[in-house]
Amino acid sequence: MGYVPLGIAFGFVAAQAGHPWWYAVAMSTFVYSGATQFFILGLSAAGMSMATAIVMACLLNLRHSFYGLSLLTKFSGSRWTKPYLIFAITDETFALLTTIDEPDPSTRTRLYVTISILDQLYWVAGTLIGARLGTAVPVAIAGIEFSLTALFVVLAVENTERIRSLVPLAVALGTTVVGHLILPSSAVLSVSIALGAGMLLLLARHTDHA
Amino acid sequence: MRDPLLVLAVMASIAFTSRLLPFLFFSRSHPPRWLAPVETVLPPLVLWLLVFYSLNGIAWRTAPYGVPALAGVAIVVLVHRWKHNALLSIVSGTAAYMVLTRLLA
Repeated sequence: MGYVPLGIAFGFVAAQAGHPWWYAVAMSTFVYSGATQFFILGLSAAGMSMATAIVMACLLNLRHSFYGLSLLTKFSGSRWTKPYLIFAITDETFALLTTIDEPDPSTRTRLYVTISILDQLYWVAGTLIGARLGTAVPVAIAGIEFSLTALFVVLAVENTERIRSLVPLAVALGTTVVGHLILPSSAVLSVSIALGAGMLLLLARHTDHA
Repeated sequence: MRDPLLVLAVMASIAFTSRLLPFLFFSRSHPPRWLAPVETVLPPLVLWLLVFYSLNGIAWRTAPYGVPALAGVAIVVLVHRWKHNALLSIVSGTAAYMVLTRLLA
């Protein structure tokens, strides 16, 4: 149910950004990734280039690949529903599926499919409500674009709590600051990711042997 | 990147591909062991980098010296650690940012 209010927020911001309601609903149906959808809204506002937008979207979606790694065995029993289960991997669905302990493979898949469909229904319904509300309130609200940063912060805090380590935060801050001192700002993000990932891998390997 | 339907199609394919990749690569074999630390540590790293990247447009050297954004981020972190409600955290942080931007302008 957590997706209803978040969907409302997305639909509202989308309508405020001047998108028709059906476009917001189409995004929630076919993209179905809150962070990516908010990012699309910010993209038209910031006038970002196609290449930058694609690189950022790939990075933003990278965590879904890692969610998938943890779901490989859980989804192994599903047959024709598998493509949808994979499509419907989101932060909340992942959190739900990984906490549910259901040993029987046949009932397991049905349960996963039900959860995934419900989550997306909540998300799409919320989007529709929010988009209609946003169209009804004609005044554009300045500063609403900060909701994208806020969403990133929420996801970052949740991931940080899961691994119980501030090292990724420190590395991200460090590479960003150093990056801005020595690199053009367009290159900071990709270089930071590469550098930071390398540093973290070395650290992880080091603690493994200790 | 102006055609909304093109944007939608590109972003939908990126989102789906990212979800599909592990299932394509490891349909028969197990993921290698070196991926385990990457799996835990990379998502928070990327998300924090995106937080900082999204603050790129802020003028730190002129008034209000990025105070609304920093306060907004701090409020999101605090509210989220307190209640763990994504909507509440996002709304309170964004509201704080909007109010402070007006007050300090």
